[in-house]
Amino acid sequence: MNKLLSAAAVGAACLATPAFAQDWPSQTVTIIVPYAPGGIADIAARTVAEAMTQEWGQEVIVDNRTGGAGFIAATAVAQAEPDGHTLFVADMGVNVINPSLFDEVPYDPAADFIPITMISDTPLVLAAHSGTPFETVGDYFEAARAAPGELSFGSAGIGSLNHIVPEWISYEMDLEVVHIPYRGGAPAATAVASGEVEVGVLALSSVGPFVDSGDIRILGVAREERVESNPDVPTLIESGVPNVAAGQWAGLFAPTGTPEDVVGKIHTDVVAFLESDEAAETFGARGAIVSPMAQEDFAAMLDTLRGQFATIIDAAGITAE
Amino acid sequence: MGLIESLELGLVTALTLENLFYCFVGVSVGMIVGVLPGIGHLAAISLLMPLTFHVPATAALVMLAGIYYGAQYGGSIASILLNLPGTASSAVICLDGYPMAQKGRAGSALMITTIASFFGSCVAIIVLIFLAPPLARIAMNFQSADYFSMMVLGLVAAGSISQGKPAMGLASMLLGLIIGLVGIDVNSGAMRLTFGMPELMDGVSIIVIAMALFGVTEVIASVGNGFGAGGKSTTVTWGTLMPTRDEWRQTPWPLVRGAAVGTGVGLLPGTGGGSMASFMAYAVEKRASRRPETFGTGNVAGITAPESANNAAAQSAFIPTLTLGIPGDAIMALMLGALLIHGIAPGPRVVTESPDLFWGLVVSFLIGNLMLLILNIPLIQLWVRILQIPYRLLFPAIILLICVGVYSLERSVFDVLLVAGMSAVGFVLMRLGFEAAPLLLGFILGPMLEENLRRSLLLSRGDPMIFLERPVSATFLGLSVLMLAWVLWGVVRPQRPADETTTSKSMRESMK
Amino acid sequence: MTSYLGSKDAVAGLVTMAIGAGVAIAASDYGMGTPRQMGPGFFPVVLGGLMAFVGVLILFGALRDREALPDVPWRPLVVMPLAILAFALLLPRTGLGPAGVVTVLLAGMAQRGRPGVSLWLLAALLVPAVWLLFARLLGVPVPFIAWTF
Repeated sequence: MNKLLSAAAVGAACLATPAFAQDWPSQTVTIIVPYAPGGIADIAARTVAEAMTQEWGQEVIVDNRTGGAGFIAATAVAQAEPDGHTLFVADMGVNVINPSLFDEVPYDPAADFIPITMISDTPLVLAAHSGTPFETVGDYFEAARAAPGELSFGSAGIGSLNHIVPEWISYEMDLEVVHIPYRGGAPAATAVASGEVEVGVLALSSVGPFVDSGDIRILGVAREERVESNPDVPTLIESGVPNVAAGQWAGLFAPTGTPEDVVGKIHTDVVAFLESDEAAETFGARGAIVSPMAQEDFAAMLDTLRGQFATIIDAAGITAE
Repeated sequence: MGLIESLELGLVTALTLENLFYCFVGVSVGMIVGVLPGIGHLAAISLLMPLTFHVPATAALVMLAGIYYGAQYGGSIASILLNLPGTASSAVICLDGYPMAQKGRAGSALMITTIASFFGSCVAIIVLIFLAPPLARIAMNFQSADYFSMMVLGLVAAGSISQGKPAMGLASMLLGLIIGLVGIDVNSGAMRLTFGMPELMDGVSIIVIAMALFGVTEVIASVGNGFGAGGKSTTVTWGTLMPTRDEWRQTPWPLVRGAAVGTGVGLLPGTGGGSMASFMAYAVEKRASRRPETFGTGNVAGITAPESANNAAAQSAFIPTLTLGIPGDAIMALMLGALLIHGIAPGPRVVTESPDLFWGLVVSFLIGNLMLLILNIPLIQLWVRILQIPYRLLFPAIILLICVGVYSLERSVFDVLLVAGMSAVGFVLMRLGFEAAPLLLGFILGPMLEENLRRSLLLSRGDPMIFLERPVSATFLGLSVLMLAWVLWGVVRPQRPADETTTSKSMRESMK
Repeated sequence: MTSYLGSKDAVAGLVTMAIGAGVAIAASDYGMGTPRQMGPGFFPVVLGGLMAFVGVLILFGALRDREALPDVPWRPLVVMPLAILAFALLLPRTGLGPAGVVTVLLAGMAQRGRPGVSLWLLAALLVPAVWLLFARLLGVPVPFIAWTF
């Protein structure tokens, strides 16, 4: 019966005035995630949803709207009532890569979404099959230069971060390495582990098991600074690759038009949770790093990334026809 | 730690009241979503994901896993009774299960599939206990070329799955392969046959196809026949529930072969889980049978082997997931996600660092399957009673369940629209002689076939020898050639003594 | 005697050819690529071509076997997809309740005439039960009644 009433309320809400921070949230808050359950973005969203359910005293649920490279979820968010009851957890793909990759994108990430904060950052590492002689990033570059077009790297698919970052490395270092796309991150990691491809730029969390089993060696991390959990692994930048730093982050967004004070409250509450020890620990255990950010910083970072990636995608000739 | 101690630890963990409870919840929910058409274990598991935050890691995994393999039990029920596959992997059960029900053997068919489910699961669990790490390594070393050759063998072997004219079977399979192309091409990122619809970018869901081609078309046909085909009310006694002695005699080998095929296919990450296993098992069974012409008319082996296979696959799919951290399909990825939520990094360390979780889970599989067996047998009587509902009331209910079930998959109205369109077109095509089973098989194998062919050639820089240089791939291709030769020999052979062919032909005629 | 082109197999052959040719043509601008780097068009063109070829074989086979076209049960063939279509169109606008009732009644009409008492009763009982099962027990977020046009 409750559901029935609340359903009627949804209809009525279309006509009502926008919500304000003091009486927000007045109903279930839905976080839309563009990917299937179990992935990096999904787990980030679920962790935040769990904490905010307690904080806000309203149910916060995660809604996986998979499909179409995130188009379906992004469009749903862009068209949702901007009253703070629909939020969006999205990543590089939806916010930075898609507009440069596809000819037509049914949404505009810069105009349709308000960045609230980054939630977590999963570092990407340059990893090599342990059967290869590469011990360092330098070894790999040397081998790639000695035999252009001989080495291959695996990725989670055309236009995925695991595709673009290695192309970026090749672009900066002037290498020729063949791209082999797989259907998702897990098969790509398995391909490096089995030696079908020599290298791959993979999420640190997904190579973990293979480092344990001795199938994969981590050469470097695509990050501004080293990762606390793997302090011996140098960054690509310190190994001589200029600029290359990009993580598989998940960020929180609201549809444009959401009242400023509501966005402000969400920002404050989520960041407070992310800054807690508990959050650092839960995310840390999964190989991710909590990354609360000021709204302006997050927006500025997105701008920079969009510029950088547009250049790389164009230079490497990556398209989804 | 020795095996005995490990199992002991597992037993202690699995038998705690909490874990028993979550195991029961899991298998029950699994059963329900398995019986319901459309909504599958993936949808159910993702819907129940939030629950896992509030329970310990082991209990969470025990429950999620229970949903997964529980659904395999439920899946065949609606296939047998109503030609309505509850899950994609039980579509093949329709082929012989539904004819059995029409002959009044529904109870017997349900009993046999329940036993086959239990047997297949147990075989795979035993393999998991004794051989998980070495098998997982073998599976990991399967490369693109090997996958490609395996798909070729699959297509050749499955040629037998067609029941009508061979050319129409081939056309149906090709149509399935073509429908499999819809969506973003993994190798180039190009959109193919999507007609500009973002909903089609990830392709057509196998559930949508199965619902349209098996469920709705059967309803249309039955209503068109004035219900000649369905809803024959039978009196339900224990007598009709129990398989006859003859039916029992036909089960042992299909059980074993099905379990072997299922365990093998399930091991390999990325082979689409149970649906490929059950189709392969059906094809193998029909090839192995001395009377292949009886398949599709209610052959007991035709339900035993695939049911045993899809359950075996559901359990052996845990082998690479748990021991190497490689998820074979979306559901396994979800399980890994559940582990991650609890801060446990999947991979080889799980076995050594969280032995209670690993062995507790494994033992819970056995307990869960036992629960399912005990739950299922008394329920058979209830399920069979569905057939006593007048069909004029049953079929609108079926249509409603298909609609809600398909919608629940991804909460996509588009998927429901697709079912409407595909069932209309599919019905006309099937009246013309197209067949649903080869189409579905082409759909399952097609994307893997193309992806791995192109990937292999990319890896070998265009050298086709890659398929012969790898021993596994070469073996599969060799078997494919042998099988093709055998089939062709069968076509050429009828120039033998005329009387023999005429008798076998008239026998076939009388079977119809 | 059925005319050749009106026989079941001839029609099946023509349909197969048409689908195959259509796919091959539609895919021809996807790019064929090279053996080393096959384009996205290669597989669909080959499959479409093969299918068209099989269509020709079926057409030839039809010379021998002039089976008449089977009857088509027009009423259920039209009404059943319509019932599903109605569900898809109504669900997001009215919620599961009204959409479900319409679907059950429409589907029931595939058989004959107007919905009788038993069908109304079925709809009244089944739809709430299905909603409880999916929305409450399995947690699929779908409202029973909504009004968003």
